[in-house]
Amino acid sequence: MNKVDPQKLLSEHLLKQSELNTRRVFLQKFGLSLGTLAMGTLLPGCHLKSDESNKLQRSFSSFPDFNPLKPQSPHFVAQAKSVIYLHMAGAPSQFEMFDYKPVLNQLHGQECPPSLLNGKKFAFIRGVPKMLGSQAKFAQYGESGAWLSEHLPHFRQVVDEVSFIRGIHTDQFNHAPAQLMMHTGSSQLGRPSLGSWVTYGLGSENENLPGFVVLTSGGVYPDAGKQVWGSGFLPSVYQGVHCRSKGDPVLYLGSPEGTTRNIRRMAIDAINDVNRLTYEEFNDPETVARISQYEMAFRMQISVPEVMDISKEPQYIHDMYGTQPGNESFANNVLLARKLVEKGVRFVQLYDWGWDTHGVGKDTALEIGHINKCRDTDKPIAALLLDLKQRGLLDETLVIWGGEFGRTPMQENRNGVEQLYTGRDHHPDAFTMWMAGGGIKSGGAYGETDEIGYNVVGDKTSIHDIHATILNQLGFDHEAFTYQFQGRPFRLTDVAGKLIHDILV
Amino acid sequence: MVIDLLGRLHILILHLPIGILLLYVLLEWLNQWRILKIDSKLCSAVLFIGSCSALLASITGYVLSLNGVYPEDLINNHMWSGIILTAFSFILWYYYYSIQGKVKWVALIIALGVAFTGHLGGSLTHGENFLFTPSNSEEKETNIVFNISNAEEVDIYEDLIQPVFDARCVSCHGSKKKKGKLRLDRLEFLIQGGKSGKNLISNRANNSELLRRMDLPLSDEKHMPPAHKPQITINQKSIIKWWVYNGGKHNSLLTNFESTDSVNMLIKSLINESDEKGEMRAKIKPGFLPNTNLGKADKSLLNELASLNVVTLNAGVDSKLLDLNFLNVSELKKRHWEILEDIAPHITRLKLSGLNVRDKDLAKINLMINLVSLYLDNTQISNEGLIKLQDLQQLRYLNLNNTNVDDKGVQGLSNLQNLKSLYVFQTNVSLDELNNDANVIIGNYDVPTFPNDTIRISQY
Repeated sequence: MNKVDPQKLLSEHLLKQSELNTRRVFLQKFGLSLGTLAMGTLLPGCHLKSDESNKLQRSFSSFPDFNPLKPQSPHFVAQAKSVIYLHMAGAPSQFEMFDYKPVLNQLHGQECPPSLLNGKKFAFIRGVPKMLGSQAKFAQYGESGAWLSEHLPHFRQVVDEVSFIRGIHTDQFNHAPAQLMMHTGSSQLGRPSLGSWVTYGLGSENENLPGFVVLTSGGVYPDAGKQVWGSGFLPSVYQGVHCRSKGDPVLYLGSPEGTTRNIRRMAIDAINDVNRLTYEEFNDPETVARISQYEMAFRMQISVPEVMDISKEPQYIHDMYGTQPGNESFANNVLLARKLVEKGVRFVQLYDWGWDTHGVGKDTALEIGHINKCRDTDKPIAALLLDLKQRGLLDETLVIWGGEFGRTPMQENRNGVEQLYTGRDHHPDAFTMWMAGGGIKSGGAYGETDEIGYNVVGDKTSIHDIHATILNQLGFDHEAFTYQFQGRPFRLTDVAGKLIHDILV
Repeated sequence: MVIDLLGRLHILILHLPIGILLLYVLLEWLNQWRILKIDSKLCSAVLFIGSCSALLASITGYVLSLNGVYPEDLINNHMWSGIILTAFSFILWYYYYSIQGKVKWVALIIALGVAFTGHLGGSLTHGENFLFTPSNSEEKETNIVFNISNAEEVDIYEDLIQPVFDARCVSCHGSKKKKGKLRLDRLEFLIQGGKSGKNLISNRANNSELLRRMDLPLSDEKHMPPAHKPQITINQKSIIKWWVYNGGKHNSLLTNFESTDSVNMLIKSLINESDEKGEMRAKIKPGFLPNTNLGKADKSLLNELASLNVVTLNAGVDSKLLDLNFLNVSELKKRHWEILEDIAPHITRLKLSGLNVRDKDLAKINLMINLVSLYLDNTQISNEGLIKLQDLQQLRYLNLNNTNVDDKGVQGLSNLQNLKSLYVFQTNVSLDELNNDANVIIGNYDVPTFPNDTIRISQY
């Protein structure tokens, strides 16, 4: 560093001081403060008040005792206490997994009729594509007789535990907005994610772990970025905590070398004291979030490495899940999810990247990449459901599987050219998800697509319906679960959302 | 036209005698009580103006009654009480100065007369029980229930359409009220039509006033049913349309028509809509809680429990039952048990996983008669303790994973009638079912590794 001339610093300081006394600065600041005053009334959402009509609206006025992650009761008695959400980023093809369409197989190779293309927009398909039959053999399994693809040999074992929702539609056909839609209920940035809403409503049961944990696999984060586990307009204490199964579980959590626990404690206490003063002055809920994040981080230094360490799991568990400690893999994340839920974490969000099967290369080919993705996930998912079941956790843990949209029954022809590999384009009008546990019917099904899986013909389900159902299982009336922001109460389901009664116990 | 206008002015003018005559009564009494000193000339003048407005209201009211919208018997009472009130107030005004002493009592009769006449009038427009019905009951959207046993033999008009009219239209267009001179309670009246046109279901379907009114945007004031009333659903509208297009006849058995799939599906979904009696469309579906009439648990005990690191929550914000999770507690202390005993009947979910629970403690747990879920996994309990769990008749979920229990012990749980799932992973239990049909989950599931599981393909 260069040596600083104290004389120069002083004169700079004096200059800055005198600037404050000029007429120009006075007028500028005066104008700004008037504007800010007016703004305060225009944006009542920025000033948090406890709202009588909403019992769950957290009040920040009772600081300093207030802990924003304090456990809270939901609206009514919940069937699910925690959620494990398995998101297959990139949108897996329903035709090679859960939605059996024999008629489509007969039409394989024929040109797509114009009636299916008129007025439709595709991400990559141009001109007239050819129909693409299923690239997997299907058979019926379980007492429910659900059709399953040959690529999911382990799922047969748990098929009677889940309820399929086959008629879901979304309004976005690009990954990022569709993922936002799926996880925040809006395709635009700025809304809180599902897990944030849940943590905001229920807090964290385990005082040493965050209420909302995010685990990623597949080498790439979801296209929509960290917004899909962001807290949007909710205080940032409710955002997902991203943990890694390889290396440090949480980045920058460890203490610097040579720092003892005690010194760390003292440092955090000092910082928090200053933050408390700041809160008393400005009443900004973000300050509370900051304080509780420091506290949480301090406790997590001990608790997280412990819970995130899967190497101490017994061998039969590793055999069951197909886990290999030290890797970043979907299997490891699934096992971690079970451990976290066991420890009282409310919402565990998994993202597995690599399901975008366009067929432009080996990795995205239905006959290669897709099968590999199925092999990566099939065994761990079956193990997760069975392990949750034998531990008595499945009754109160809602497991959700799905992508952000579906795929076309047509072969993709990027730029109008026939491709070497088989693949399908993005398709928002019809796709499949499943849910299990947490008060969901075993062996149930809801919704139906047409003969080629292009449109929903019965029991259409929207993303808001899915959200309404998830919130209901956690004990929330989605219409009354709101947060006051910018002058109006916001909901995860906006102005829509109906409970999917048919898949509930 | 002018006559019509005059009649409708009644709705406006009727408020004048109510206000002015009551003002007169008020002035009279204020004077009597010497609260205000009011010249009797003023009282007399107010009474006269009130009488005149009552006369005007009577005339316009009579004109309005001529259009025949309202049932006659109700109208007669209202009309005659109005006429008598008018006459009475004029007579009082005429003899005002000669009965000075008793005038305050006569004034009371005027007030009663105004109230009585007004009430009869109100009953005419708002329905007879308007005054005493809870305010939300009328507007409440009730699901229309169709009584259909066999969807193939359904009579479209009788079984599907008239019930919709009955539920959504007849309160204004029926035997009592005939707004716009229209009745919809029988098919004959539909054909007869109303003021806006005859034959609402003329065979030229495009001309049907019935369909036109339903299709107008909700914001249009001619839209029917009116915007603030429960609306006719899309499915109901579609079936009405289909029926009108197909002639709109009385005898409309489905079998008489060449029905297409879309109509069959429509009818099916209509019946489905009604079948569930609205339950399927309920906004929320809570989990199970026992019915109790317990009061609230002692707040100070709950606070103490929370300060002892127990996650202490109500089962729902308004529930008096409690959900207790001991996951942050490292060791159960004496004080924990004392509090648990005190609030025992309130506890509906209790999680003691991995804690120092011993057989003798189960006697205290047996006091928790409203317990639905109980986690005792990874504790030191054994068969001896299980015997003590006899009174938990609400218990549906019991987790005994990794404890020292066996078949003999869990068979003793057969008395718990509502027990649905019993978890006994990593115990010596080998049963799959108890005598009370509870499902016993032993676990030890195996997910075998297939050769393909670990192979990555790179070529097709």
